[in-house]
Amino acid sequence: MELRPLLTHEIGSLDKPSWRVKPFRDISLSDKDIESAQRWGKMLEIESSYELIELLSKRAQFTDDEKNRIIFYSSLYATRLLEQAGVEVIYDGEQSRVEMYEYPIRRINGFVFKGHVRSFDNKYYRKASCVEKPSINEPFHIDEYERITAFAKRPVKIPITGAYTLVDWSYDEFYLKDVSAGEENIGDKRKGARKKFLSDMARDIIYPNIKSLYEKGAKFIQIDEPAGTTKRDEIDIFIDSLKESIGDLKGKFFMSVHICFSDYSLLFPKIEELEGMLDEVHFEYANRDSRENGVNKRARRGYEILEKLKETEFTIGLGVLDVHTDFIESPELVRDRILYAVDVVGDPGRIFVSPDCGLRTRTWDVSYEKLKNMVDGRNLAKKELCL
Amino acid sequence: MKIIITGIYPRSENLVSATRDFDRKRISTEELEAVRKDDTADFLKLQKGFKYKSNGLFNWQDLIRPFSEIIENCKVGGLVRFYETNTFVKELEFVDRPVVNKEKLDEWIKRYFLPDITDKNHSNTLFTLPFLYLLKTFSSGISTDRIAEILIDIIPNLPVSDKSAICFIEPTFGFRKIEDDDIKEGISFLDNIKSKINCPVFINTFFFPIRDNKKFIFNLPTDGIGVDFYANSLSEIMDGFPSGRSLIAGIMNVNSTLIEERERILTFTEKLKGFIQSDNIYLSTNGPPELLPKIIMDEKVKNLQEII
Repeated sequence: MELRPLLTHEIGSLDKPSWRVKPFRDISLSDKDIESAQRWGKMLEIESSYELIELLSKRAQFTDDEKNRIIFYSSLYATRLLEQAGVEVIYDGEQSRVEMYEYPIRRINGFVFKGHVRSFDNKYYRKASCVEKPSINEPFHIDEYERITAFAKRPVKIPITGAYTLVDWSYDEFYLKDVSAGEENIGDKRKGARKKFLSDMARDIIYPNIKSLYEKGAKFIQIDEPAGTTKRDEIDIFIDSLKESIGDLKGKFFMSVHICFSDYSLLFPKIEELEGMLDEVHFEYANRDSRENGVNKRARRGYEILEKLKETEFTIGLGVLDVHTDFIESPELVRDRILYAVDVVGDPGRIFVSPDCGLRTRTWDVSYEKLKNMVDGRNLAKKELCL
Repeated sequence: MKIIITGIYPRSENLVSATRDFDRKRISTEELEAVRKDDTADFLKLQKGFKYKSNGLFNWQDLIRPFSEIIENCKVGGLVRFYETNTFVKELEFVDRPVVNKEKLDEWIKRYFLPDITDKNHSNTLFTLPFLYLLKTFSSGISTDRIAEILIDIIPNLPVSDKSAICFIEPTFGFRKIEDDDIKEGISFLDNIKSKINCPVFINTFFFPIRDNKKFIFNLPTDGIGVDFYANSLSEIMDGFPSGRSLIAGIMNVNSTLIEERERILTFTEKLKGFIQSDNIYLSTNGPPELLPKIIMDEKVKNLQEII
């Protein structure tokens, strides 16, 4: 696929519909759940949706095979939602994954789940501890890739949770076991243990997964590293872990990294070492931006880091939708965010357009409206730029 | 030696489920409150014999959000990472001169600082609050001196007694440079607070090496200082530690589910006793307890109780 200027792509997750969630929690489906499946099936023009409705009419006590069919339909619906919104590079919004951390960790040997930890407000994630050297029996993204590409009408991008995020979001009982409170040089000892943990995860877990997707023909792969800049004194080992994850696969497909809700300036200049290995760097911007229209620094205060990124060789993944609010960005607001970025960077060919992050915390109605406006806004920007 | 637990304590799996159900409108406020009360009761039981007891702050959204409900001209903004953790807070945005709503203050204090405290005199309650630089780090449109004025409007209204204590959480020392004017403001603020209340005031630093700010932190007019001993070596901290002051030693690691080994704890405390009197030692976590699941945090506290 030609990498056109201002190409639109998604970033990962979408909400899971109630008819996808309830059967796995042994909760009976209501009329409302089934009506929702009908409504979206019609709207997304899914010809086989009658089969899903028939399946859901059982309402409870689904067999494992039936649950797998429900996941298949959830994946199909989410993929079509992105296609219908006009997004050009798509995915199924993690419909077959619990979420971006738990899904991989459950497929990696050496981790044990310990309980829920709060992320913010009443949002939690289940956190595991590394208790022995991590390993995998086989790569774990192939089934998902093959399923989505079988029905997708547009190029598919598979997100893979990166080594640093998996390490940072886990407890460590294995590599840190010899570190004692208050001992001499404790900072160095802690960092040494962390480096070893990261290197093992990058080399033995992430690299084989990326390689297997490449071998199956994947053209777009995104390494998700929302935790990438979490710890200032670990930026060097984070970048090194990306290098180890990509290894000899550089240049063989379009590779992006997604980082969000952090101080991106910390990545510089170390991130420049990834030029030539990594194609796109995607950050969240809209969350920290104003909602006013305008192509000026004051209105576009969330896009400050572009000043640093423009000096690199990377394609810039531009977050234009705030994923933590139901506010629907207007096409004009999206347009202005893009035009501002083009103005700063000077080349629309270096800018791809997307939400800030995965849209899992929004309903499908809200996500669809946001994504549709994102595409409309991109089109307005293209028109303005005569592209 | 005693144990002290500062900051937000982890919610039980029951409370996690209840808050999720509440958000999805599956349970009522009363049903949620009943589960939360169980968590508070359980946590108070865990602290049996402690000199100071916290209510666990189970209804705090994060360490700063409650202040958005008592300060006028304050909006809740976007998500921001809480220091170098995988937890987030919503920034406070001050759009006009912020003032404390004094009419709501009593009710607000009752809701956030005293829920379910059964001792009517609140005699040994530990009140946790964010310190100035933490609030400044996660706010916009407000100066440090105005934050200080706001806290001074609030803190003397807390029902403190000489048996209770206040602990300020302040990881910013190791996180970013604190300007000279803000340093002066911090000292003056603590002097002011100490003149208005009659209980010990602690400051807990959490998370970071504090070597570069050691002199300033040690000179702050507090009764005790909290240190993360997974980020700082014992010898470095105790070199010049002010005499007569308490040390809150962060030795329960909130970044590891490993339960601390008895021998290692004893080695640490023996060394510590070479520098500071036992009465002035409080053992604690090296970060907010809520970074661990409750089941693990409870086990760590019980383990420490048995060891000492």
